[in-house]
Amino acid sequence: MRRGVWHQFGDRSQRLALEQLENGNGVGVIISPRDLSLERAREYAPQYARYDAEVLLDPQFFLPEASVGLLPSWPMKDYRASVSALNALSDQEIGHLASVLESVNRDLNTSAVISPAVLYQAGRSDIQDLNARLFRAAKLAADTIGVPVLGSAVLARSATSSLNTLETSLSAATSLPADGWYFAFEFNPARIPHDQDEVYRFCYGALKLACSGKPVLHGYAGPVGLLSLATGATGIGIGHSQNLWGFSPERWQPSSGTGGGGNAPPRYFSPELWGTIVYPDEFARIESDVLSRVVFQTQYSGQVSTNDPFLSWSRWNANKHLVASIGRTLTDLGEERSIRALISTCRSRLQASVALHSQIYSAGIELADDTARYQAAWDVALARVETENGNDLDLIELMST
Amino acid sequence: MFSQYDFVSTLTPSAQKAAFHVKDDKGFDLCLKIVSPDYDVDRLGREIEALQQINHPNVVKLYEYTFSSTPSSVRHYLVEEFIEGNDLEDELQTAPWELARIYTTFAELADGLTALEEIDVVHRDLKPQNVRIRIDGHPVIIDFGLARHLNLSDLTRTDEGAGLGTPLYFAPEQFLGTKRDIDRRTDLFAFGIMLFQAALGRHPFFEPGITYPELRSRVCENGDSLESDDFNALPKKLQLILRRLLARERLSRLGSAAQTSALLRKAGKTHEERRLAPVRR
Repeated sequence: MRRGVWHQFGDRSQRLALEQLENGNGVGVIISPRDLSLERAREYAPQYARYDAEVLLDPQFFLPEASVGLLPSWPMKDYRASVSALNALSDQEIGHLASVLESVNRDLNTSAVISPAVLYQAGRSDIQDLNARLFRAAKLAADTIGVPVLGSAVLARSATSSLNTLETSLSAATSLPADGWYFAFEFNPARIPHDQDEVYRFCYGALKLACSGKPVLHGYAGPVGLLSLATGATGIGIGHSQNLWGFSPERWQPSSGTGGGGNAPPRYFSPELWGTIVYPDEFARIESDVLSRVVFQTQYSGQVSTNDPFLSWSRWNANKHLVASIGRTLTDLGEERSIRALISTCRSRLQASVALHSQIYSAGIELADDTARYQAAWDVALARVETENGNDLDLIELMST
Repeated sequence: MFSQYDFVSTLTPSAQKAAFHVKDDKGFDLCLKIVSPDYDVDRLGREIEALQQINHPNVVKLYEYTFSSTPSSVRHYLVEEFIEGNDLEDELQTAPWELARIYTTFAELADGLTALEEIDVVHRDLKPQNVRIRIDGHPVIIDFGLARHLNLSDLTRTDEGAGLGTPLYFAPEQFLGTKRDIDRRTDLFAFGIMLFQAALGRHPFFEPGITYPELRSRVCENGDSLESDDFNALPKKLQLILRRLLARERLSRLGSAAQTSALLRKAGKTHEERRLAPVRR
């Protein structure tokens, strides 16, 4: 698995991913069957390969009994059923699932097979059993194709709610003989996680997976990718949609609303704030010397000027700017191979963000979306990793020397 | 039966197998094992299946399997590679070993375990009696009586069986009897105990006179077994590897034998570079 950012598909992401790759941002794409048909995925996969990007298919079995979006159009649809029904599959049927996985992964020329897996839940040994069986199908497919297999460690909130449940779930997930891990973590509902203990648990989980010596791909990472990168992840799944900022099972449940954010103004993502700022309203209120520190230009933010914040800026360009900013920042940070140095750099970035937010706040401006709420908590969580997980950091340092 | 073999000597038997050093008609040295009639036939089948899939210098080779059946009993016979040398148990009598020997021997032993991992087999009874050291010093894993294929459909049964093996080399999950939790990291815990013995000349948890419950408590609950002066005097990298192998939680153990082997080689390389570095005045 290549180190760097991976474009994670949401709605209308395939073209955005292509454009980002064309501009040198990203090392791979993660195709989402919920958001793209197999037919369209077949068209795009070779185009990504032209930019030397790896392609992965996330089979999205997280809630297998539900089937939303384009999921029913994929050949894995026959295996979307309840946990108990899936647990009753015969060995022959598991073998057939392996054939299906082999076929779609061959079609898309994926660089590895991501194992289908139901969301790990605390106290659900039946799910552990099922995921072990689903993994067998994925491994069989991967072995037949001749590519690695990634074990899915996608954790529901019940599994992430304490260190004990987290360890139990990850112990089960990592008992499978995978070549790497596809990791996602459900936080409590919030735009971006800000509970110190919860954020520490996330870091702890990412770190333990990295300690296995196998590559870790953090799916549905978004801005949280800063934390997973600091705690040893190899790949970071990013996307333009806030639905992809953290794993949420709701994405795989039938929705009653239209969603999509309505006519909300574009948000400007600032790597210096590691957060967003509403354009143009909040821009106009921030003093120019502070704003000059906030702005990070990409090719999509040309209209966003420190001198004239009142020019129009499309949400679509704001989305592209977000992906470009996060991608470029994480790629640059990822050049650092010492995990201790990387944590230190990320902490400095978060501390600088806290200071900058404080400066903005002291001028009487309260940024929307609680965007200043989490950076300090993330810094504390990483500090805790430094003090409580020294043995894990030593191991990762030893592996990387 | 087996008239084609010449008896050479009796080897150390295990609980359910008699073992003999024999020679075939070409003078080739072999190990003939006769398995007790009450041995679990299914388990034996797994042992044979596992052995026949592996061709690795650090794992014993199985040449032949046959059985005889009479109205009163069934006997199983295995003909394996004869490993000239000593059991690791005997070699550990000379521990603590030199560091270079520790790194080399245990990296190779981890290579043998990697061969098992690659076919999803957990040994479950790794111990010094089940490792032979060839005359040239290379280790070989033998005796797969408790080997289990992780991809068998019985993978997740939680009934009896988790506690099989040798308590001195049990991982916490074996003491706790949860079969679901037995995986490749269970073997790595036993591997860690043997590595500890080679490095320090003593068992990390056991000492003469302690009872089974006390041993269980030390392995499963007491976290300070590694806090001792002799352990702290070991090279930092070896300490780190041992801490990870002997972690109570599987999640905190090293992830695979391949990772263990790579780390031991790295630590060995560092040791060798330091040993050969010119002394600065």
